[in-house]
Amino acid sequence: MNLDPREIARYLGIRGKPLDPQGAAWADQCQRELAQTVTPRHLGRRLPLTLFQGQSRDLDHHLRHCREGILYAVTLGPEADRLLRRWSAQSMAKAAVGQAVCAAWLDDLCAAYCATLEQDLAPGEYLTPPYSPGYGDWDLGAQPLVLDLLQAPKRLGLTLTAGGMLVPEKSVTALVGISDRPEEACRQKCMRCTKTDCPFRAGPAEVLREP
Amino acid sequence: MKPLLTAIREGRLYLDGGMGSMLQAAGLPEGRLPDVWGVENPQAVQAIHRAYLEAGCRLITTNTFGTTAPKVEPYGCTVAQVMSAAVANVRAAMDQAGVTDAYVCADIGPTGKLLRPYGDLDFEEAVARFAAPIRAAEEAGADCILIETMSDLYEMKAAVVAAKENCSLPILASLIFDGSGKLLTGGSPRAAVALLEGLGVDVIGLNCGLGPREMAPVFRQLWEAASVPLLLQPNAGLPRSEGGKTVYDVTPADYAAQMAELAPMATLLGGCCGTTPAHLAALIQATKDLPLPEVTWKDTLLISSYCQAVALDGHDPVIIGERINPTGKKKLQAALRAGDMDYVLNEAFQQEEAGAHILDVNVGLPGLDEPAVLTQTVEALQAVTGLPLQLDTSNPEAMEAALRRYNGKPLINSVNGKEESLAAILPLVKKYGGGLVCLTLDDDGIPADAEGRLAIAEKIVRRAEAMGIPRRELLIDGLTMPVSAGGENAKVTLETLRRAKAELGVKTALGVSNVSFGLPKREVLNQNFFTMALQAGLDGAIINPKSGAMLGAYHAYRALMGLDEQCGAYMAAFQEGGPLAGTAAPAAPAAPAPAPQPAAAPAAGEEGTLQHSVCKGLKEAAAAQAKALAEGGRDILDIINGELVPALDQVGKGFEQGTLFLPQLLMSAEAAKGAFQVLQGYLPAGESQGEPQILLATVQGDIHDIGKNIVKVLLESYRFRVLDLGKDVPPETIVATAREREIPLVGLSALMTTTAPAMAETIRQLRAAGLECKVVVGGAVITGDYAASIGADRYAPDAMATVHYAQEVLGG
Repeated sequence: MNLDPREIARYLGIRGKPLDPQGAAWADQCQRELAQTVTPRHLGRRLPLTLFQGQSRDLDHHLRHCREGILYAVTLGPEADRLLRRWSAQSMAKAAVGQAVCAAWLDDLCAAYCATLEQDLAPGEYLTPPYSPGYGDWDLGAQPLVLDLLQAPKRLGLTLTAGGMLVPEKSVTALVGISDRPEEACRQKCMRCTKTDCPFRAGPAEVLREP
Repeated sequence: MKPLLTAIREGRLYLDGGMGSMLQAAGLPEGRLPDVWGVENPQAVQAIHRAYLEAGCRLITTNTFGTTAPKVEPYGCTVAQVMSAAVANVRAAMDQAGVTDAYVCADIGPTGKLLRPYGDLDFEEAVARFAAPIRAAEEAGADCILIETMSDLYEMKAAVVAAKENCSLPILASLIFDGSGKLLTGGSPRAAVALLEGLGVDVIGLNCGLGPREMAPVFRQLWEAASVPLLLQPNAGLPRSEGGKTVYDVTPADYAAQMAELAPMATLLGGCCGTTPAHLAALIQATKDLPLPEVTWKDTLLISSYCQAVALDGHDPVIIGERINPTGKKKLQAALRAGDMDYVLNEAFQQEEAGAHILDVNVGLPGLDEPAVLTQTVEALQAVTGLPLQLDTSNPEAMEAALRRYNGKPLINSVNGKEESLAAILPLVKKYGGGLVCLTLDDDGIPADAEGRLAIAEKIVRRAEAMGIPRRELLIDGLTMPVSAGGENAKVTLETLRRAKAELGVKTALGVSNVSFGLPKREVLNQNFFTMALQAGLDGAIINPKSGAMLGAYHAYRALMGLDEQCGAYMAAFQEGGPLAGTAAPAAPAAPAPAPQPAAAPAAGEEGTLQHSVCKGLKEAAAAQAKALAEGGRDILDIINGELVPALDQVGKGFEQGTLFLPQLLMSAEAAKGAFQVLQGYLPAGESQGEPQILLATVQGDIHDIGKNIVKVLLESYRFRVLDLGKDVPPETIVATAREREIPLVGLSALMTTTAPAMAETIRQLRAAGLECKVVVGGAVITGDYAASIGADRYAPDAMATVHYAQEVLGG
């Protein structure tokens, strides 16, 4: 797993400073416990973007140079939710750190998955950054279609609650466009987001770091 | 025609293959529920059934994988309509093919929802969703129920319970594993066997997810554990995406060849996604002359949690942790009465770390609603621990409630020889499954000799078997009586154990520590009696795993009896990080932690003070210092106001100024809370308790609760009395509770744009009810503007803001 401690700190609302020693120790312990019990799972599917056209102006703009895309989902599975509940019973401080560890891990897994996608592209094909339901004006109401197209309940155990939330909690769905021209790099995940006051927004330093 | 279960024992019958992929090939549009095609386009469905019949398949699965009310109703269909059309389509295809000896398997697929607590589908709601198609299937004339592609044992249990309650058809239960060898929810193959055999299903199997080759390791594990016939329906290999379509690569010939290797273990063979009538024809050709598997009976008792099975094999004993039992434990009693589940959970974690294999759960307290509290405790435990549980109650109603909700196959503690007990408990074991602890007592009390106790044991075994509960599921408890009350007591118990095992072929269980009741140095007697009991054949040892003496005896026994390969477990237990690390000799009592007694009292805020410990988030030190200060005679309110409050203020300020961060804030809060709990014990009863002041809830539809839990810890550290209603809480519950308990401040949390409207609705209902409470809101998507627009009194951007508002509203 070997997560960047700065990313864990960022998810705890700490920017530009390292975790305190106890927090860092918990971050290590949470990573060990996660590695022991959690099997992250992912799946993706290349498909025509007509399936999503007209749902969101922001999304259409984001994918304006693309005809196809790769829809994918990544989940840490219910075992991560269990661990979070367990940590919460042990210590909320540990749980808060664990929550940040899970978020950072999920980011890493998504980035790693996108990196594998690059290898399968044909010459002249480029990936856009991933875009998820809930970004910009792409409504969360798109999630049922996304999960259905991926057969995510059956193949990942990834489902939606009646309120439209992904469960297991530590899960991501996203769409990556396959563009006919080079696009911004995948890892500049925060810079396109319009929520500039987000406490977890990656600063330029984090954005530019090499994975 | 022969009953299905007879037929499958006499000759090889074949299930059919892929349906969804065939329907898509026949023109079913993407995104449309295949099930409704049975009503809209019956010819297409019948043609597929017919092709499988003509290939030689004789167990034909209805096209009802998704037939539950929420999925079919949007198409204007009822569950009964879809199911009866689906059964009729199989019958029609049989007529067309001129086949009379095929069986109709009513197909039941997963709901596509995750069950509580990690999803939002309640167990009973899941049972109800499965009940409707199952009832319709029997009415429509199906021959069996095939529950398939289940990736969650809890959901599988809901489906099987629904089948048992709503039809009398044979039940075939099939799971989907992926390449990890575990279910998507973490279950192992053995845990699946434990649960499903406990529930009494007729056939267990695997389908979907993988091809035959990838499925082989998991299938072999099922074969090694199961005592019932198995079914196997793999995909035609692993799915692959090609041109936007999912394709499968294993050809009919390869499929047949790979399946032939597994056929010696599989009574029923078939296919799943990507397999076609051609695959099935090749499979049948390749395997039809192979002999049927000889399914062997396994004597090992398997019990299970959501993820793992624990085996009681009659040789290697297991530890059943006894600590979750309020008898004689004041703190646990108080926690249970207050609904403080975290205390109970931490008791579980400690036993787990000490090496318990199973946890006994007893919540029997006068005046407590035992069915509700036992169920709540079991649900809380199974949400966080992978250890199987032993449900311990003498209240049959509580037993059934907890058994039904238990995610796995538990131990059931207990039945005895009384008619009343047998009549109440045995049917529950038959219905839900469970290893059953059998107490050797009856209406005449506890027999004084082993002969009498064995007679009762034999009676229980006979009665259980007459109900179809095999004796491998029974653990005879010879009843430990104090040796202080009779010199023969221990011998009688051991003799009962020995003979029950030898003469009745059962497992054994014993609560060990009662033997020393009324005598000094109890641990010495307990430890030695424990070793003697193990030697006499004890399988399930109900002990305190946190006792070094008992745990040491256990590891020593296993090492001495050749049960611990290369003494690995023995050594690990004493190694650093092991549960017995640092114990010089097993019987040595743990040294008490030195109380912090600084030579000269440090000034306020310096190292060694309570204030300093809270600032640094040192939980244990803070609790010990609070105790020392209180014992030293300092006024309790003075300790709170002079030590805890300044520390919290200092940390809170640091958080707000950005010099320290959330983890440190929470550590300090937890340290303060721990110290406060210690101090509470010194306050007069009236001053330490009171009605809750703040109600906290995550709103309906929202199941993210970590933010709310953070706020709770902080509020409690500031000594506010918090009533936590949890997550996904309906507005009506919040309003009713706020009214009943006269709550002055309600805190609501929502994390998603989709659930924020539920926050608005909750506030609307609170206002409409005319309650005078204030409402503070927070959560990732909530903003000050939004909070104002929905009528909240205050928006809290972070946890400290809630504390400040609470101080404003409630004082303090």
